[in-house]
Amino acid sequence: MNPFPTPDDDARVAHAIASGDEAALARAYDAHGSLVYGLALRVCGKVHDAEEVLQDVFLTLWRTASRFDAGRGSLVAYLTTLTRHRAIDRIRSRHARPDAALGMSDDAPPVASLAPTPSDGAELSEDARLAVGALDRLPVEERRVLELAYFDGLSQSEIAARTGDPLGTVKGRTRNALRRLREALPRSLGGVQ
Amino acid sequence: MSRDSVIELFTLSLLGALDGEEAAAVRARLDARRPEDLDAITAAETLVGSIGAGVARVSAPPAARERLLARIAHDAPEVRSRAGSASALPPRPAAPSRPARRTRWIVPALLGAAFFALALFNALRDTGSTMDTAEQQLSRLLLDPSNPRWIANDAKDPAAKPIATVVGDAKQRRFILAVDKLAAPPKGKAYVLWTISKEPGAQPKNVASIPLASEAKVILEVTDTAALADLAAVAISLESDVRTTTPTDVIAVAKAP
Repeated sequence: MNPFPTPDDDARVAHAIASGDEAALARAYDAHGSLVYGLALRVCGKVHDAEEVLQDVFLTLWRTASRFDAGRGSLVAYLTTLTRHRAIDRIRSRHARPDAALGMSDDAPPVASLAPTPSDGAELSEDARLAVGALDRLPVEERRVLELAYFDGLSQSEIAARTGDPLGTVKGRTRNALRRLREALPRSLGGVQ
Repeated sequence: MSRDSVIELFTLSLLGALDGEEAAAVRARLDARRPEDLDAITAAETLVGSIGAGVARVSAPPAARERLLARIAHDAPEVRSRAGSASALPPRPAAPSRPARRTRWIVPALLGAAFFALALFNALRDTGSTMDTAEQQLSRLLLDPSNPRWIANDAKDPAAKPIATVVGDAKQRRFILAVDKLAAPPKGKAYVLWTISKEPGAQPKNVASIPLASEAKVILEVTDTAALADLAAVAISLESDVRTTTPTDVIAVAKAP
């Protein structure tokens, strides 16, 4: 599985799905379902919610694949963005979020950071490894603000309120985290290398 | 402002990390998609996507895959039947020839679609909308992450599978109700859609009836109403009198986050 296929690959997949090819959607699910589910589980913290988000994301892909533009970004970026928004919407709607900062609950696997566990790493492509490595090298405080923004959907002022840090400190850490990420990643992943 | 600064701002916006006026201003610039910004927008979107791609992969239960494939198999005939009607839906490419397992869906799907179309026509007539507009607008609204989405849970069993999704329009005073599947109402009763304003002491407002002859999905665009951001809740009730001003049997509620 290559989490970062070429734009042509993504365009072909999207075109096939848009034409009503159920097998193409099944292949997309097989390739990216574990990423979508893992992200949904990481955000929602509950298996039931994560499964609903998983369904929602791939149903949306099925219904709107004709609108996917590979020139604007990869299918993975599209799916992760959609998953994150749906998952955050869901936890906000349900008011059932456990300690968001930990991203853990009774029925969720313990995921303590943005980076996958070593065993998961074996399944990742080189591009995904680069992303994981860049995230893992961030200072703890900077990775923390990025986690709170990405997984919990918190704004910088909300992060400051939750952590008790001054807003200026939170802003500085967020911007530093993004700068370090971009410096560590190739252009194909949104970086500057 | 340097390109790097623009990418940083766009990334912060896509993360939802900005606050107040700055958030609104950057969001507006993102939405404008000016030609000179497209490169930076793509870089920011890719960077945010890379963050998400770094999470641990977790295999979903096998039943989830089967459920998804069953749902899209059910979805396709519904879309095809609407595309073949007199609506202005953009033509969806014909579905490829189906294996034998699909054929068993055709008759019930066509019957269901006929009932669905009738119910939807009636429902949309109540709200002054059109069939194709509801479908198309739902797709558009869902693609814009800035639009709020609420989940309507079963009023009697909030832990049960959600009944519907309410998708608001951040730019207009309207929302779309997408009911996953609504059972046919008992004889002599009908579904009614309600909104409850955030105003202190506000009473539920009867917005529209949702007449159904059979179990069906419903996509209902509600216009000329309060923006979703101004509402405390949207509800569906079962009523003997569709003009009632007080809900009596609430079956689903979507509350503001």
